[in-house]
Order: sequence, then C-alpha cells, then structure tokens
Amino acid sequence: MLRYLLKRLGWMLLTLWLIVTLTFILMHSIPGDPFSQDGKKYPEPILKNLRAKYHLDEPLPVQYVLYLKNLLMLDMGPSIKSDTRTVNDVIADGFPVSFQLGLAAVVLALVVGILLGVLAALRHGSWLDNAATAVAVLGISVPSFVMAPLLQKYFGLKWKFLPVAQWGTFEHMILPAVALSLGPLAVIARFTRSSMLDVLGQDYIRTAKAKGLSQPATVFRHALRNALMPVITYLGPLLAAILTGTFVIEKIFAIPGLGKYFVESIVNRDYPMIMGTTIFYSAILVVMMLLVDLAYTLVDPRIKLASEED
Amino acid sequence: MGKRKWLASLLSLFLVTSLALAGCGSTETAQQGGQSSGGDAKSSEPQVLNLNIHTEPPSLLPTKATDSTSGQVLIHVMEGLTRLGENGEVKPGIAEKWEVSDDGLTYTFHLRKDAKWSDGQPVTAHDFEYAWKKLLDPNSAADYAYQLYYLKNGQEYNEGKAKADDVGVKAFDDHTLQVTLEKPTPYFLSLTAFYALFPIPKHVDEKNPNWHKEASTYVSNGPFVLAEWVHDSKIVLKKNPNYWAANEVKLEQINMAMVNDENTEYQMFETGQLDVAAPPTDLTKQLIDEGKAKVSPYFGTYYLVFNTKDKILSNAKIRKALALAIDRKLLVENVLQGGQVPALGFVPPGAPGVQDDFRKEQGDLFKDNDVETAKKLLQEGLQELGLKKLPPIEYKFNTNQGHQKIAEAIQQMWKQNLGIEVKLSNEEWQVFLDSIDQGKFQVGRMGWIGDYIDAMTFMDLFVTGSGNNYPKWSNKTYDELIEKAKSSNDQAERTKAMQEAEKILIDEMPIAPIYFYTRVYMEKPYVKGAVRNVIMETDFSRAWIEGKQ
Repeated sequence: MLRYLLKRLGWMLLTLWLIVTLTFILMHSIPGDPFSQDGKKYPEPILKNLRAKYHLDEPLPVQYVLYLKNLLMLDMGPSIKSDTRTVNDVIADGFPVSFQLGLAAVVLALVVGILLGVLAALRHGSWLDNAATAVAVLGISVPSFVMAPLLQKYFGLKWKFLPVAQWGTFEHMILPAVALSLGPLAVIARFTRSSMLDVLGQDYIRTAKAKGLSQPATVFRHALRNALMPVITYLGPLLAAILTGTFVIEKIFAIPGLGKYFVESIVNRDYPMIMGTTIFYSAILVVMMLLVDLAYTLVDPRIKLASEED
Repeated sequence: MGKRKWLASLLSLFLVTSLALAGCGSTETAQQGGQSSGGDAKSSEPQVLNLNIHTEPPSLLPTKATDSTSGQVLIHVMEGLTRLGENGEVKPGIAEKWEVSDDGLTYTFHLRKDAKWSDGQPVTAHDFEYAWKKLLDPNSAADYAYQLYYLKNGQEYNEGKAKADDVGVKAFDDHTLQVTLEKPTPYFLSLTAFYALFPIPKHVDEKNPNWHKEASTYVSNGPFVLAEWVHDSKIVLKKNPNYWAANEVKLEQINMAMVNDENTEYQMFETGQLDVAAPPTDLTKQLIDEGKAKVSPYFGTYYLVFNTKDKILSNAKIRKALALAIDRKLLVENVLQGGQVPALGFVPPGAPGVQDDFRKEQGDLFKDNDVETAKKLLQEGLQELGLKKLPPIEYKFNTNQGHQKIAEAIQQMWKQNLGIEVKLSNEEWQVFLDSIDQGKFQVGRMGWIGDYIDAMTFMDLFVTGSGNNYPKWSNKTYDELIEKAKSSNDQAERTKAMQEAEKILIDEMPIAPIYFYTRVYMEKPYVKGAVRNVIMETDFSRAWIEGKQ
C-alpha cells in the first residue's frame, strides 16, 4: 500500500510539472500582454518599468526557471492585475468559499441524485421512474446560468424567502448550492439508475432475496454498493471542478470564490494568476483521482491496487 | 460489513463539515451586520447609501490605481489638491488656493491648515511631494506615471535619466507646494483632482508599505474612511470625522457591494439592496423610456480605425466614403439604445473651447448618412486606385455582443449604400489589440475615454508615431498644430490650433467617429446630491438620503 502511494505521488508530481511547463509555454505564446487592459497603450518607458518589475524583460527560459524556483517554495508570485493580493492570497481567500459552496452542492447532488436513481430503478417503468427521468433531463439540459436567475427571481425577488445574491450566512448558500447541484444531480441519478438496474438483475441479488433478506437490506447492503462504481468514477473530476469554484454561479450570486480567477486571469493575461489557478486546479484534480482509486478498493474488495498485484 | 459503513461515514463527514463551515460564516456576518446598522440611530433618517462597485478594486494606493473601480473608492476616501464639480470645474480640495505664474509653468498651492489624515496627523505638502515622486519612481513601475510627465524632469526621472531631486515638485513648508512644469499645461489643475495624483500619508507609508492593503491599516484624508474591506465581497466606508469639511458630509456610511452580474445588480436594486445601479443591457431602452434610468454624458468616443497602410484604405476618398455611408442616428436609436450621441467630430462634448464647449464651437464636421457624397467619393477613389469595383473589406472587432451588433449594422449600411461586401471577423480582446497594433486589419473598432478634461487627450492620439495611432496615419500639418497647442499657454490659441487639427483629421478620415459614450444609471429618488461629470466616477461625498421612509 505504502509503495503504491509513493509511486502514485511520484507520478502526480511529474504530471504537475508537465502541466506547469505546458501552461507556461502556451500562456506566453498567445498574443497580448497584461498591460494594455482598456486598449490604451502606455508610453514606452512605462511599459519598460512594468516589464522589469515582473521580470517579463528576461528571456523566457530564465523566467521559467525563476518561476519553478519560487513555486518550490510554494510562492506563486504577485498578481499583475491586483496590487493588493498575491496569487497565494487570492487562492487562500477564495478557495474556502468555493469549497464550502461546492461541498454543499456535491452533498445535495449525491443524496438526492442517488435517492432518485435508486427509486427510479426499483420502480422501473412506473410514474416515479418517469418523474425521475424528467428531473434528470431537466437538470442536464437547463444550464445553471438559466436556472440561477430563475431561482433568484422567484425565491429572492418575488417570494422574498432568500437573499438574491452575496455571501455570508447559511441562507446565502442555499440558492447557489441548488443551482450548482442540479447538473451533477441529474448525472448521478442517471448513473445510479442504470447501474442499479444492471445490478438488480444479477445472481447474487437473487441469492440475497432467496436468503430472505428484506428489500431495503438487499438494496442498500448489496446492490447499491456495486451500483455506485460509476458514480464514484464521476465524483473525482466533479469534485475538482466544483470545489475550486465555478465562474458562472459565483458571478451571478456575487460569491467571493475562486471561480472567476480561472477565466479573468486569462482575459487579463495575468501570467502568475494563470499559472497559479491552473496548478492549483491540477493539484486538486490529481489528488481527487487518487482518492477515487482508493475508494474503488474500499467499495469493491475485488479491485486491487496496482502494486499489490505484483 | 465494516466497509459498508465507510460510505455512510464519508457522507456524514461531508455533511458535518459543510454545516460547520456554513455555521462559521453565519455567526461572523451576523456580528458585522449588527455593527453596521447600530451606529446611525441619531439622525432622523439613516444616512446609509448602498452602491455597487462590481468588482474587487485592484489597488487602493493612489499611485497604483488605474481603473474606475479603484477610482470610485479612492475619490471617497482620499482627496487631492482639488476636486471637480458637475461641469468639470475645478474646486478647492486640500489646497484652499493657488497661484499660477504668467508663463503657466509654475504652480504654487497653499494647503489648508486644518486638513488631517484619519489618524489625526496633518496633511502636508510633503505628503504630496512624496506621493508624486513615488508615482514617477521607476521602481514603483506605476502605470499612470505618465500623468505626471508634465512635471519638469518627470519623464526623465521615470526613465531613470534624472534624480528624484530634479523633479519639479517641492514642498516649501508644510503648507506650500510648488510645482514646475515642462510646458504650459492649462488642464494641469483639473489633473490634480485625478486619483493618481492624490497624496500618500508619508508617515504611514515609510513605516508600513503594506498599509493600503487592508482596512485595519488604511489611513485616508478624504470625506470617508475605509471601515471594512472583505476582499471580493464588499467595502464599507464610514464618515471621516477628521475630514476638513466634515460638516458638509451628510452620509454616515456607504456600503459598496461587489456584484458583477448585471441582472443580479438589477434585482438587488429592485429589492432595495442597492440604491444606485446600472440597468441590464436588454432593459436599458425600456428603462430609459419609462424614466427609470437616466443618461449622463461620458467623455469618450467610439470610432472605426482605417488601416492607412492597407492598399485600398490608403486612399482618403475611400475612407471618407465609408465614414459618410454610416447612419449614426439610426445606429444609436435602434441598435445601441443607450442614449448615445452620434459623433460628427472626434472630440466629445465636455472639453473647454475658447469661450464655450469645444464641440459646440466646432460644430458638426460632416453630415451623417451622406450617401450621395459617399457614392461620389467612392467612384473618385476607385479611379485614383485604378479599380473598377471595391474588393471585399474586412471589419474586425473584439468578441462581444455589443460590438457585433454595431458591426452587423454597419455591414448592412455599407452594402446597401455603397454596394460593398464586408467580411466580419472577431477576435478575443487581447488578440484583437495585438492585430490592430501590428496593422493586421483593414477596418477595426476602437474606443477612447479621455484621461483628463481637455481636447488634447483625444487630439494627440494621432500625431505621427503615437502608440495609440492605430491607423498609422501621418500628417505634417496636423503634427505641427498639435505641437503648437501643446506649447501654448493661451486657451484661445491652443484651442484654435486643435480645432484646426480636428478639421484635418476629419478631412483625411484615418478614423471614422461613430458615437459619443454615455453612462446610464438608475438611482432611487431618495438619493440626493450625487455629482456626475463627464470624466470622474460619480461623487457621493456630499450626497444624502431624504424621503426614504
């Protein structure tokens, strides 16, 4: 187990290094620079001072080595756009908020999604199944930027149950979490339903029933565990994407998360911020992939980790 | 059996953590909320204003701020030597009076003795000298250092060719600031109201260079203090009791939200969470028609750039034909619908002329939608180029719905009026800027917002070799006229030179003006006394709330 983990860790670092290098090269090969935001070109001396300050006047290989050096010390540099906060500050401020919202959305999607999926599978072909399918289709086809303003309009503006936007209290979290969870909820419900149908038809379920186990015991103890494999696979990238913040939902609800920096840093050509957000996202993603692989072995003992096999 | 529990415990862990995190958040803000609503019970009506500044301000250090969000906060917490009024007129700020030498090169500012920083220390001339030299210091790498290139040796110091001591700004004593300029610059006084030229508390900055990054260490000299700054979320300003004119400030508190979605902003205005807001694009016309949204002029021009290095567009008659065959009135009224004004000259209204407004004195320099002349010019132009028919023309804009609508309308007009095929192409903003700068275009869209209230901020764009001369146009007489205006201290003489130059610009048409910008806003009727002029962010420092309840 330990050997496996160390090996995985090595691969993860290699992956991250590759991502850093590729992002660095790609980022510097697109036209534009961080200093001409509104189309006003500064006089040459101003540009010269700015380039010198951010070491953009050095050859690219020198900049690359410099960046890697700082990165090893976990310093992702200043944000060119902001004079107030470094890239580390922005991530430290924004990530907890995005994480909290993302977690709420994922939990909601998991609980409701699995429940809907299981019910739909058990009552296969009934009105319940149809209703669950309708919810799933709706969740997948209505984008969050349509759902979010609708929620705002009815719950915030018309019925005045919940705040329209902004962040701070538990009430503030409800609408964005619901809007954010609908897509994944639908996907999870569909995955659960189809694999549940698959599992329920297998021999060991019949055996369990024959032994006289009650239906809830059969479903939750035996069937669900296997039926959840596709959901767990889906959970890895989903967690990485949702926990690091989403541009649309955070913009609509004015949530001080990390999501907008993924998009705006590129528009602004804020080089350190592009690197910082990309590395952070990648790191979360590779960790989530590892967790998913570990989760497989826990859910299904038949699956062995690679190094345990040899 | 044991592994079955694993999922359950993972799920409950998720739930517990998210609830715990949510719990932390709520107690924190509950306390903040209690604090903010408690303090203003003494006046009959709570003097609290709710604004939206859209995003986190990138910098609240005057020398590093370069954007309107930072500007909106800065003009409320800081004050420069002067302030600007409704019509852009210069009013005393920290300076109570000033003298200008006859040659227009030396300014002596007398600072008021009762001006204080929010920590109780006096605001002195040294704070201004310190801030201005910091703005020009090459190590600061300040974007807006060029706003002080007017100072003697300003540019030289910024380029590392002169010492800080050589720069033309000096504190004679605590209350006298002497400024020496390179050239007479009649608009210099209004520049001192611009946030880049605000003072910095020297005594604070020398001890803690990071003072401006958090509310707890922020020291200011304006009508308000920075009471709270939650990054990416909100800013709370409170009245500054140490401000020299605190008796004129009626608002106790300004809450600045950071909501960047226009529909959310509108809904928050409707629910009363915001007192001032911008209308969403799709509703702008409707809200203006209903009288719910108001239009105020803005010192900017939207224009098309013709690449004069292009084989076809090097011909002035072709350029002019294209410019004349656009129906700006139709475009503004049916496509833009935000109260914009058709531009029949380059300098927008709001700049001073000889006696009156520059634009008013100059009048329209060409006729809108002059299809007859356009057709004639096109034929003449084609003859000069030795062509029978104009090959298709490429019109480039940066990817954006608004620009696309304008491009499509102009494409239609050129096809209908002149029978020209126009190919539209769009690029991401930075890529687009690069293409325009490299001359990889035929026709492109561009906009310019004035840096200061004078026609020069528009006119010197197109002198030969200017960085923003995207048409790569060059005209000797034009260059001479601008140079003449720049070295003159006589308002009549320099204005006439610039008006002459504008006529040449329109006659040669390296650019085609389309419309003058406006700002559309909604304001609750109980908000009184906000000051809006063509260039600054809206000034609420003397505003008040009346009749809300």
